[in-house]
Amino acid sequence: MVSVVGLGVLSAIGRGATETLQSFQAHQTGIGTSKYLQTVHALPVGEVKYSNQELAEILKCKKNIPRTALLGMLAARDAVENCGFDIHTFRTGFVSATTVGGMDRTEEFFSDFLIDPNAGDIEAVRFHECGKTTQLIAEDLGITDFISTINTACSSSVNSIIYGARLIAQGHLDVVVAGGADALCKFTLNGFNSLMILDKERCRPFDASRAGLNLGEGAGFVVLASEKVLQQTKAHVLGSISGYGISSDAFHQTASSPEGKGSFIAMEKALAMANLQPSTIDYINLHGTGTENNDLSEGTAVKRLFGADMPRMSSTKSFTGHTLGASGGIESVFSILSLINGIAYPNLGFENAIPELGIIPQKEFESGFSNHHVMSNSFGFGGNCSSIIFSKE
Amino acid sequence: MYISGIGAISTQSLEGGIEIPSPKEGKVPAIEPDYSTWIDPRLLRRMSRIVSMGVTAAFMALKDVDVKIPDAITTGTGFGCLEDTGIFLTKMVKQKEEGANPTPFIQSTHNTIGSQVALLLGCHGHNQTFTHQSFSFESALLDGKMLLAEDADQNVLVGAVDEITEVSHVLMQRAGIFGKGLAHGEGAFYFLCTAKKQKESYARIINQRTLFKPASLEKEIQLFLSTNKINPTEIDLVLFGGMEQPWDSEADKAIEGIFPVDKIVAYKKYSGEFATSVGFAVWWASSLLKEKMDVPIAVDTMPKKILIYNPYLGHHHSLILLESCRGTK
Repeated sequence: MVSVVGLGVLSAIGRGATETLQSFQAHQTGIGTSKYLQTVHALPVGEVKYSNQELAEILKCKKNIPRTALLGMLAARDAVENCGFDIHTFRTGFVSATTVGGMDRTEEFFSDFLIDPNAGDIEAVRFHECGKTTQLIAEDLGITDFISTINTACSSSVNSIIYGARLIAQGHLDVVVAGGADALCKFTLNGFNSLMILDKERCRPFDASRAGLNLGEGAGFVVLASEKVLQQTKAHVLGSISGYGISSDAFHQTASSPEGKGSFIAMEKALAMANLQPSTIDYINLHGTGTENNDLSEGTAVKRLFGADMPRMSSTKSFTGHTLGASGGIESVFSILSLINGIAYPNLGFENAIPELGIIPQKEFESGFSNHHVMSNSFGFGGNCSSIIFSKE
Repeated sequence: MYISGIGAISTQSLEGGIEIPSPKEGKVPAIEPDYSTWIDPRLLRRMSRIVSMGVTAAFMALKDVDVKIPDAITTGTGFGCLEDTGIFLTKMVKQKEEGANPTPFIQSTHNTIGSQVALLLGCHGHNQTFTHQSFSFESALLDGKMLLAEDADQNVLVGAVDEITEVSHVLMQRAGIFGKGLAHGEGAFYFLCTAKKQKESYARIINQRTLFKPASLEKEIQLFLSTNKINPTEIDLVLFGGMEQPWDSEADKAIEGIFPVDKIVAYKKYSGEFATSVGFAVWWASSLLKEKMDVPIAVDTMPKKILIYNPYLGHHHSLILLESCRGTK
């Protein structure tokens, strides 16, 4: 069994477990007007409350690296520090995920480049590729044994956690720092805006009146460890990865199938691998973006799988916004915090159930219930569906 | 793990062996097939070039071994769908974020290639896209290897896809990626991998390893060989990604310290440089091991064991060891 022994999270609702849980408990969203993202669009976003300058000062690193790398570095460092043992004494890997990588720097470069192909600081583009962000973070953490990057759109970072768990399970590595990071940038804001799926108000996942998603940013990383590491260190087990499922919806490049075929298969595979009945799941962190299509599709699949015996469930995206390639990592951290503390997060903004579904998600912050198994869903453009189950030992 | 089917779109025409392409303006583009013989023209019209190239290579690999739908698809791409990224970005900057067209945005995500393969085949299985510089394909290959270790009865389509675009060429040239004398290449390669040998199998991948900024290259390569119980003298051919660039000096020294010079072939003369060029090397090695191609240099016999070594920009090093599976069970 692969264990989770460290957590690091940074999102619009704070850095680390304490700040994050305080925001949840206070029903305090992180979504609002952007302060650092320069854009002509007046759309609400879930922005991390630090400028690049401030992040670089906290990290004591160069400030001209992409914001994705700054966010990722902070959360990854926190995760490594949280695990309480020296990861470098083991075969350690870093598997990250991002969809925008260094796009923010490329955008700056392009304003000059489009006027004159010889203009612009070419150093800015060196960070463009997704793998470069991973490299910057890995170098910062001093991890060299293994590095890789996944981009399956919005399911990217749950896939990096699954890949990391498999690398350990098959004996390739002992420790993997896995998760993902994504920064807000004009490219994705304009992209999602052109698809007309951005809500001009704060998003309302699983509500009948939902009108789209809000973009967010941040990073979430977990430290995964093998049984050998547990024996040789004083690592504290926060939870274990008991099952996961990866599937392809194979329906449409940007839309989910109405019956949620891909999401159903992913959840079903995860349960089968964990050898669990649906009724044993105590909380689901839904993908729940707030778009018409996702919530109906995901809800249909959840309803089919769980029947009348619905566990507590909620989407946390009305707190953080949809953090794209970081969402699986961030929400995995939320899921483990839920597992440890017996917490179900409120599905902020929910008022009325989607008529076709009748699903009523968690309305209030609840803590102290007996929590053994938490499921977290992440679905992406292109039909990349993933579901993961974290369990108490 | 066996390579049992191959689809390749590269600088090489598939007839008549391999040759060094002549760069035009520093580029060696892929020789593209007539995509409409592989993809419904109505769908093809909406596809970008890299997606057409990737989907076609995937279909070629499946046809090669007569598989209709693979159990899993895993793809590596260093830069993803650059053409659509460039189109969306250019318009966004020029029009100051007004009047954006969603189509290039939709097709700009790295996973568009693998997703389209799944979509067109109706494949609901495992689907991943790795994008980590020159480790993109290697990560996908390891994903495939792990899938087959988890369930030996499945088959996995493993791909390597990258494209040249006008903008990316200018930018990479300005960034000095091509150093001296390297041409900008591209290609799409999909390999149908199986745990068991099929009668169509090309080669067996003995093992693979990625090394990020290793302390000693020569030691790591030696260790990789000895771990796999291979003596350097057993290697008949080394497909080497170094091209005497300033950042290649350590790799040159390491590889020449282990193998005789006449067994080393600089494969990027044939493929050009791109993040997933190792896909080209695996295609070439597999074809040689199946005796589907003439040997490129004066080695005594058809090679039985081939080592691929790509030292990408001096910091990402990858090794893949293949052997012939003729006559084996």
